[in-house]
Amino acid sequence: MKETFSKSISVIFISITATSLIFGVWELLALSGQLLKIFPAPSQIYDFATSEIKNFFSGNEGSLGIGIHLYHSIKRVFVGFLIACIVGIPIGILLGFSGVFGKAFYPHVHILRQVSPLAWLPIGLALTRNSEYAAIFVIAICSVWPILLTVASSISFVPKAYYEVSAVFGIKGFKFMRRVLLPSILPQIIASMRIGFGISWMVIVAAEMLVGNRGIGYFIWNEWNNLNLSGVIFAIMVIGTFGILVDFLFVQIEQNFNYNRRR
Amino acid sequence: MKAFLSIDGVHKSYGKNQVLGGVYLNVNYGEFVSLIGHSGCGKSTLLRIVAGIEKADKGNILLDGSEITEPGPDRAVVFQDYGLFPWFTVYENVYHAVDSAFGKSLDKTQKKDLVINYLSLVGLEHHINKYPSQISGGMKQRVAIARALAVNPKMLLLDEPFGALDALTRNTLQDELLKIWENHKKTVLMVTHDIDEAIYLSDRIVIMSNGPSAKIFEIVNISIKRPRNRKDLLNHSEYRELKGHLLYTLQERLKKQEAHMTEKVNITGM
Repeated sequence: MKETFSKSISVIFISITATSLIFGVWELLALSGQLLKIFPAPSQIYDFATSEIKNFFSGNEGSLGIGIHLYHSIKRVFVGFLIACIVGIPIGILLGFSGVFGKAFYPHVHILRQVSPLAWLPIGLALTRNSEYAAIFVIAICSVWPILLTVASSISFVPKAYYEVSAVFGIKGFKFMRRVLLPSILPQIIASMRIGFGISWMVIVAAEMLVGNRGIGYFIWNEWNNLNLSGVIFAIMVIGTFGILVDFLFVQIEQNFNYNRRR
Repeated sequence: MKAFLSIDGVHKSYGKNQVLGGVYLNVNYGEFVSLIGHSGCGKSTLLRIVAGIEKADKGNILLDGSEITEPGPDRAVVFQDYGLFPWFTVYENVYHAVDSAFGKSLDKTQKKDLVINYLSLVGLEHHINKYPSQISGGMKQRVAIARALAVNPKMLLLDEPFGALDALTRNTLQDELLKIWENHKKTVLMVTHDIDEAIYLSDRIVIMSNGPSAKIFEIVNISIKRPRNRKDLLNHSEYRELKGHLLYTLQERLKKQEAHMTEKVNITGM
């Protein structure tokens, strides 16, 4: 107990020291003019961030608060991610279950999942003729593959014993799906959603840079056009913070479904 | 009398490896029969074929006059690793089996009472809302036994049910199983590698020959009076004789038979 405590103290100490060191060196370099002129010092970013946080949800057209942009990004990610789950989870189960379908479609899936989000954008625009929908399309199509593949492979990890016990006690058909198969792959479904969400959240910035007039990606692009790198770096921090919050949430849910650790 | 369970010429191979080479066995109604033999001799395979989990390549099995083609709750299995679903509580593990086995022939309250009754029978009435991860191995196996009995099977199939438990828990569970069996008189087929367990519980012990192509080597009758008692057993002369005979058979006679078989293979190989 004592040992783990002192260990975590040193972890925190090293983490804080290293971070301060990096920011300190950065600050010194910026102030002494060693960096590019447009590259801000941490103190400048901090000033920008405090003013942005003050009008986080400001709805002023022309100087929209970053909270509004964040809201639009979350909305798009949520819809795209939801579509990916609704499509990916059942198809993943189907592919995992049916050896024939699985083998027939794995090449397609593996080729398509290599494609960069930006490559999907023209397709999305052509299909939907609407930049908003195109962004959602890109998010959905990029996050659907990892969800689909993780769910499909989870089927092959369902212990043989579960099938045997179910067969012996006559748990079949829909009951088997609902009471045995789904609960047994639920932890992997949640893990796949965690991966899928991570990808959605990465894709959104790229998609919004190209299509949106709202959203965190648009915000970054706009700040860059104004040569305000403080804004860009601040937005990066916001993206990272929100991403880690959602990831933390998924970890909590995952642990809740870790049946063997249930106490 | 016609046998309740009749295993008639069962063969089973995995690829080129023949595990069972023609097993014939009759089990009477209400009888407790143990299958014993060296590991890998196919005794579990035979039990799994009776359960319907695996299919025989040749031969057939009749239970109460009808042929076994697939698994079903008329042959409830107790697995060595319990076979409980970790997302269900103790109660739910039994309930969902009962629910599937009885379908609409019982209503919800009847099923519920049934589950509680059998969980009480194995002494788990105070643990019904716990999850498998929260209870000991012995308790998990009690749940599995309760589940197997609760679906009212024609026979019980026990696949090394106490193999994963420590010696003390194993003894307790053997005593409890014996008591339950003496009250319920279910027909039981049990796989074990524990000689004492086999003698203590069984009416007959079936010794299987070493694989490949295992067959039944010998069937030993255990005529020790019931109800049996573990303490008395140790002083029983018949118990000592049986144990000696089984040990000798497993350690010496089966080996000779194996040597004999290898010889035969060599001859045909030339």
